[in-house]
Amino acid sequence: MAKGQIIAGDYIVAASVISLLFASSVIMWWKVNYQIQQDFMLSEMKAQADSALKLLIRSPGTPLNWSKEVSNVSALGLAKTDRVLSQAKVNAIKTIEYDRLRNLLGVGGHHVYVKVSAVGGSLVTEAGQLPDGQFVVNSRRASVLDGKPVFVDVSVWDRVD
Amino acid sequence: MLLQTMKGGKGHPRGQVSLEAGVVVSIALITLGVIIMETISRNNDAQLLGESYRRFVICSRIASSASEAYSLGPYSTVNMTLPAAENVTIYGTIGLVSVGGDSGVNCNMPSGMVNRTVDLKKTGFITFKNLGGWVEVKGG
Repeated sequence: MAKGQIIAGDYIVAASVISLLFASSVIMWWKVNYQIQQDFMLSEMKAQADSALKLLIRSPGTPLNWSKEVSNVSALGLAKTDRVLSQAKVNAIKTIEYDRLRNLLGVGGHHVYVKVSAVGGSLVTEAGQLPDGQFVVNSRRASVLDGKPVFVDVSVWDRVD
Repeated sequence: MLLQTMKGGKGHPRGQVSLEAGVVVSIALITLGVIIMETISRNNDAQLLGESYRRFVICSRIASSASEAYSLGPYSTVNMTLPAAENVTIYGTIGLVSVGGDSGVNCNMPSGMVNRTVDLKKTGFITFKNLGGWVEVKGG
């Protein structure tokens, strides 16, 4: 080999290594970006579940007697007073059309499931769609119905294809 | 493949530059250029993502403040201060909050608590007042 010659093979190897490093850093960026977007969505869903649950157990809804004419409900709430639920409203929530329920609970494009259950676990009422996706967040609070403690659960869920 | 060959005093080749080396250096420069462009692009993406997240946090706080005022009952008031002045629109009847205008972010809140659309231009302070069955929103 003549002195001072530059071997192209060395450059090709070096360029390949740099290209591989670059490609792996781009792939890592995509993964991190995807993770951030997932966290973003989950925190949004958690905020929506908490907000919906607070609304259900602490407010009576608008109009106050919306359970008599469910089509007239403009804001949803199950309470007679703070954290004391109305049996009529608990019964009426399951008759609300699903898209309307999502809108009233403010979950946007996500899905929602509301469950009221006795402390022993027996179901009192449920509304919405049972969670069936890889992203599910749940909020639970205790409340009172007919003088007995109950749990109110709000699940906000979604599936991402 | 020698582009240029210069003979030294004893006839040895010196300072050779091959076409392969030229091609490889060109590829290396192009690769470097792509890396720099990608880095700039990713940096811009990161800034946009950060800005979106900041607005999303504000949006969520506005939605939860409206819910809080509604849940607390008639004549309760919730005040909030935004970290920076923003254009805020609350579409109360459909339960949507928009922060930052056309290039901003949206988030949802329970519909019906605010019974109309409220447009707040470059506001830094928002008051939510429960007027019995609905929430009035004012900027300042």
